[in-house]
Amino acid sequence: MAKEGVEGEAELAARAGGGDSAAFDELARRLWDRIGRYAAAAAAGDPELASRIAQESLVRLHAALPRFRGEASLGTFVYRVCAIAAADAFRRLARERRRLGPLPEEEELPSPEPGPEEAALRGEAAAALRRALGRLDEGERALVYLKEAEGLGVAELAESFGIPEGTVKSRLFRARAKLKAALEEEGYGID
Amino acid sequence: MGSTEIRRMELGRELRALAELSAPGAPEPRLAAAESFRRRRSSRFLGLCLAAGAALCVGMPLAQRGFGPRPGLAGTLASGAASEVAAEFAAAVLGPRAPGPAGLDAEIETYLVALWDSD
Repeated sequence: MAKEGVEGEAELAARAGGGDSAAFDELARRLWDRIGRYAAAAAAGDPELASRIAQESLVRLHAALPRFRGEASLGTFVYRVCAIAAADAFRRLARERRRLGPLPEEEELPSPEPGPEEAALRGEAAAALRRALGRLDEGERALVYLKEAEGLGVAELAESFGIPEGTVKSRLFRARAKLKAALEEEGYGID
Repeated sequence: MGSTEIRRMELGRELRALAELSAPGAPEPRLAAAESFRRRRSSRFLGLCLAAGAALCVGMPLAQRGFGPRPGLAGTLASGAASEVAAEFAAAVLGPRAPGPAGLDAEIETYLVALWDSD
């Protein structure tokens, strides 16, 4: 990401936090890809749940921006908002499931069959990864995703999740080990 | 798995590809702003309505004491609160181009209705 873009987003965040709705519109559009990917990873690839998490993240971002002082980077601030939105979405999902009772052949987490598009694009590896991710909780998925796919460091992860760096390291270690074991059952080793 | 063959997976690349594949479509920032506003203001609007109700309750003993009834006090206060919230809502969500409550877009009206209903 270009330095100019980062500065632009921080400026937009400040204006949006001050009540400038056009700035919020623009900021939401710029951040959407990152928010959407985070939501999709936390939702283990369930598009409907990912959509709920992403939109809830935007709602919470709008409410939280007036408190953004630039002490943390905007990126970690946004991921923190996403983490809270995702945790909230999973709490609601759990409540709905308790109310409705277990679904037939219910899995631990949403894991719909891959559509034809996915099958064509990613094939078996994507399906195996989705199933393996379903064995992790949403916090573990988000942690592994941000580390492995977005390249966040331990300090940034600690800031994003509001936990000490030592806790990040131990959770990351456990999450990666669970994912590795789940993928090995699927016949995959990870690099 | 019938096969014992282990295939290699570049985790970061596959995670990103899966996330991109199942990421949601276009954002809806105005709806997000509207929902954020609704949550924030909802409790205050409720407070105003309760204040209106309380005012009516105060008015009744006054009426009983011969100071005269205050018909429609709660309604007037609630209506005033509604107008205030609607105007603030339009400014917060639509910004400088807010056309006023009468001309709000249908999608925003939906949230206004939800606001009134929830309170």
